[in-house]
Amino acid sequence: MALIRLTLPEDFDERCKKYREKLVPKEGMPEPYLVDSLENEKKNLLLIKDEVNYRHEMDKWLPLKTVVDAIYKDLIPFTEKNQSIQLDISKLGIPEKIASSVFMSLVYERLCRWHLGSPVVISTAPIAEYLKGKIVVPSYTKFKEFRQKVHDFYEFMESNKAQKFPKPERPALQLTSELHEEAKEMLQRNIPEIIKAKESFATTLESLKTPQVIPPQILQPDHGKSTSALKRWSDTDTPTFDEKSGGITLGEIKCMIPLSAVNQIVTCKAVFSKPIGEWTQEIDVIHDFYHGENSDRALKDATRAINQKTREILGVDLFQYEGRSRRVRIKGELFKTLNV
Amino acid sequence: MTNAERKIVSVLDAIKAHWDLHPKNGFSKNVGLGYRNLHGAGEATFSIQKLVHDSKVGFEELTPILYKLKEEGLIEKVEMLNEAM
Repeated sequence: MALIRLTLPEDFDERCKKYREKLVPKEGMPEPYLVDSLENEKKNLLLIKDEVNYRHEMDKWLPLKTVVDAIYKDLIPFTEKNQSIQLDISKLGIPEKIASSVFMSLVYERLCRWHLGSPVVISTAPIAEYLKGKIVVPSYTKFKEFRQKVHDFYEFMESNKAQKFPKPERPALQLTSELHEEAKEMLQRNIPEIIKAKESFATTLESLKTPQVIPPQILQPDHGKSTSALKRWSDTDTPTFDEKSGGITLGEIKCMIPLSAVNQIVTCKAVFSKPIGEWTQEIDVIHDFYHGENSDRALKDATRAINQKTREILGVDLFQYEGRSRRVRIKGELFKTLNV
Repeated sequence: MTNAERKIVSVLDAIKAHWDLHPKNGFSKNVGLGYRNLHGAGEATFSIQKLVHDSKVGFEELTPILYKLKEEGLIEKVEMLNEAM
């Protein structure tokens, strides 16, 4: 057997390492860049003057926020290291390609990783699973800090947008005076429109004098504060909530709660999981709220927002919030009355 | 990284893997002839066939690579123990 004898120096390992580094380019993971990108983007946003462009830029960052929030929602605060979670990307409302890019950037940020397979078998299965939502979060605290940064960034975008492109608002007083002026103008002009309007007004008065029988099932209940159109739900209907679509259905009417409104969705889920009229305590839902336990007044605000929507669509304030006990429920009496 | 450089690294890795099996300050009983002093320096005998196999370089390419490594200061001495090379 042919042999060769090599005499090696005592610092062979070190020399070997240096020589190797000289020849082999570094093929490591890219350095974290997202936090810096967020800071740079803030500066860029300040320079944008067009509202459409601004909105476009905001939309670009939305998938990151959605993914980070979705991961954080599934994390348990009691386990610091290596939490494994499974996300359903189809429910995030983000194209799979974009979600995959976001997942990879979270890997580069050292916030997430895929589970390691066998060190012997080299396979792309773990990364494929990761990109489909099977995620390992190495550090809860680190992820929480990052999520806060993303959240701050998004808040900055929102507040900056509100400052840069304020919505034109007409105060109520101004609107009233404008209408008054318009009416005055019309009255001054003796034109056929006025005569027509007068005639139509007279007809309306006549019809009001005639008593009308309204079937009880389409009567507006007194509990609602709205004076909106007649309702299309009867006394036998009870409200239901669809978690997937965020829709509250009452009879034929569906009132949509946006899925992005986390607190409202969480509130609806909790309240509708109980029998109608039964109270849900704030402590039962607060952990799932956007700010978790730091969500002060969040249940109250969520209830108010839901009621505003149900008032517009269903014609009633569906939820009742009790500040003293910090609890919420569906107004049971609405349906009791109708069930009599 | 050129192909030649890739081959040099491959041979270096094969030598290192073999060398790491030699215990410090003692004779290597299980990995063939060789001795390392307390500081880790020493000499080791390699089977050329194994080196060729591990590094996946051609038989005729091995000698120039070893002398290149000697030039670079990674190997102090290269000795052929028979006329095979």
